[in-house]
Amino acid sequence: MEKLSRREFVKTGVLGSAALAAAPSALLAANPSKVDVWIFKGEDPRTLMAECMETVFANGGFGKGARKVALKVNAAWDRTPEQAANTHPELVDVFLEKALASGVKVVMPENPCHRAERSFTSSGLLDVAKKHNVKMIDLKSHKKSFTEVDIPGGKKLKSVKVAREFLEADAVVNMPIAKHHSGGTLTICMKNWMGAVEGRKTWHVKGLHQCIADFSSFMKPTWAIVDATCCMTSKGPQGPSEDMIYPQQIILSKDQVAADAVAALLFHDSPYKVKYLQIAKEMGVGVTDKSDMNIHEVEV
Amino acid sequence: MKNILLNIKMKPKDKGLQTAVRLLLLAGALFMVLGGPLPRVARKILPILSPLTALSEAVAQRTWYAALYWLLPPLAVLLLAVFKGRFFCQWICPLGTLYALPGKSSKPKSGGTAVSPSMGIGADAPPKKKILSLRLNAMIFWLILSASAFGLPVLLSLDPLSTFSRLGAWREAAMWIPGALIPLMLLLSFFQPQAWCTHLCPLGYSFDLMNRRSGKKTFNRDRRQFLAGLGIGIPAALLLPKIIKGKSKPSILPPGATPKFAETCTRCYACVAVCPTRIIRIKTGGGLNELFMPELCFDRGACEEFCNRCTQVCPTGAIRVLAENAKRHRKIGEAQINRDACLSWTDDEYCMVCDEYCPYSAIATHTKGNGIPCPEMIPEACRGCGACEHNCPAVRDGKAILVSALTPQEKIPS
Repeated sequence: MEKLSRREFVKTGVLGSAALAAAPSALLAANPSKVDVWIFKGEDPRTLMAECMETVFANGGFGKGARKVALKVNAAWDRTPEQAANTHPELVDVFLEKALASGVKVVMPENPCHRAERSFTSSGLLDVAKKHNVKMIDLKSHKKSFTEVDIPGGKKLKSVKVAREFLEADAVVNMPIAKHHSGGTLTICMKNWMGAVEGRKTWHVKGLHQCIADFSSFMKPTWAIVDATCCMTSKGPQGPSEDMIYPQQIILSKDQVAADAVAALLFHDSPYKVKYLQIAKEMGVGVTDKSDMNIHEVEV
Repeated sequence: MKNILLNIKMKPKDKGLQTAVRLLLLAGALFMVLGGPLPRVARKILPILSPLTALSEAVAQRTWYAALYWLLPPLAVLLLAVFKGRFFCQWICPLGTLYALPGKSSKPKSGGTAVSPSMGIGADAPPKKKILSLRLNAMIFWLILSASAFGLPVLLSLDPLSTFSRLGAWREAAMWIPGALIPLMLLLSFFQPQAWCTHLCPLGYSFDLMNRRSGKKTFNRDRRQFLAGLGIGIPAALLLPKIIKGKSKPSILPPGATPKFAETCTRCYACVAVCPTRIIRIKTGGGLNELFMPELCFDRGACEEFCNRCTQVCPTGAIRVLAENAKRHRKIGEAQINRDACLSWTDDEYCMVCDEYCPYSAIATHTKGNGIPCPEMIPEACRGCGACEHNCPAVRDGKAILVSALTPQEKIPS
């Protein structure tokens, strides 16, 4: 259903968006039981990720007949993996290995904050992509990717230009690193989408937290995978920070809001310290209360 | 008029060789200034060859440029002139070759043979009418040198090798104002072959002057031009900048720029061409001695934390060579927050984009009573890289954070 909605938007444009105005409610209705959230804990990131991928495939993988997967990592900053500003390359390495082995094609589009030539390289993610022959697309220099879409449920964000790769994919995977963020309090899955759009500057003017929640009501991934192996708790999102924590976790869910809410607890005593999570709850974008989740803790 | 430029007598066979060598060097020079697969430092090889630039720079800075080995190429060119006069002009100078091309195509009529004419300077039969009859090389040379000594460097941009290098910055619209010299002289060459080389080029004159056989004669012959050059250059350098004062705020200069940047920059635009974020622009306003000077503007991006390209390509030492880590801590300016324009301070929005993009953690967070985080400067940590200014999303009253220049540049603690 949700896969259809993304594809419809790009194919039918305005007409499509009108027809799909009812889609969000249908999505919610498809989620009667509690939301599954897996927390993988362990010292070795590679085995953690391998375990995570097994769970992904045991729970429907990327969907029936899925061929194209668009992976949204965080490769925004000219920072090294140790500085934990970008998704850890080891995790992405294992993800690509397992995903490709399942027979899908993967692309990695990213609209970085620093020049891609720097951030893609320093993050170690370009090397990983090359290793697997996966295309890492610099959206900064590939502007023609951006396609205007309407956000039917958006309160402040009514329309936005999104990278076509995400709209046209059969499955979208949101795979950020969890870290402190000066304006967003935390950046995990929901805020990670700001690297998939053009013109993100206007979000701050319209209301950052509302726009983040608005966009997440539109762009819902098949899987949300949070890198919480090593996280900065200050000077985010770029760092370098002296205040690092090492939760050694990967958090997995089909609901990116739930994944964010669980990851937020690594930093704060309540997910609602993060305003966009509060808004997402009120808008019904996803679940934020642990009581609405089935949390599976997996020691690896 | 007897052509003094033709010191070397050549057989026709050699002329073919000369043409081939010159065209090859022209292609090579184009490669060097346009970059491409060559190492970055290649961009400065051409402009650095000019002894005129080296001399004027030294005169203006009142010191020799620290990296002495970079003085070896111009020294070699100078030595070449001592023994061979205008050999450089006749065999190497890519701008000379470029200006010889129109002469080559428009020439034949008067000549007896249909054989391709020489690319050598002065070898062509003189045309009937000359647009430019007076040779001004000497005056321009002395004008440049005296003006540089007294702090007005603008004419140094007449150096042919810097002029040629300017082509590397073809992407900048403003380049075509100082770059117009090339098309202009090319056009002139159709009517008067190589008019630039024979009648105007100050570098060519310096070769005549250095030549052990013709040097003294050249100086004596052009004594009036020597006096004219000094007579115009020194007062111009002293007076003009005071009379022509453009309105502009102080320019933010590339990292490594010396306080005498404006005086010693030859406008070769190698720094403009190599900047990966294209923030080194050509100044179009401002005072006379800052005319067409490279300056930083954060509209297109910021001065990257891990980059020292511009410091690697400057042929004159107007921008000193800096290692990446030294460049990383070179303070070129300082940001200031305008709270009235700021989304957090004035509009109660969650923003802090300036902090987000600041690689130096030079922005502290002040949380207002209503929980909105607001930016506050930590001036001593700021390098003036412009990441905050470039990314500030405020529009109502313009950017809420702006970098102002710091001259001389300083170090920030690492």
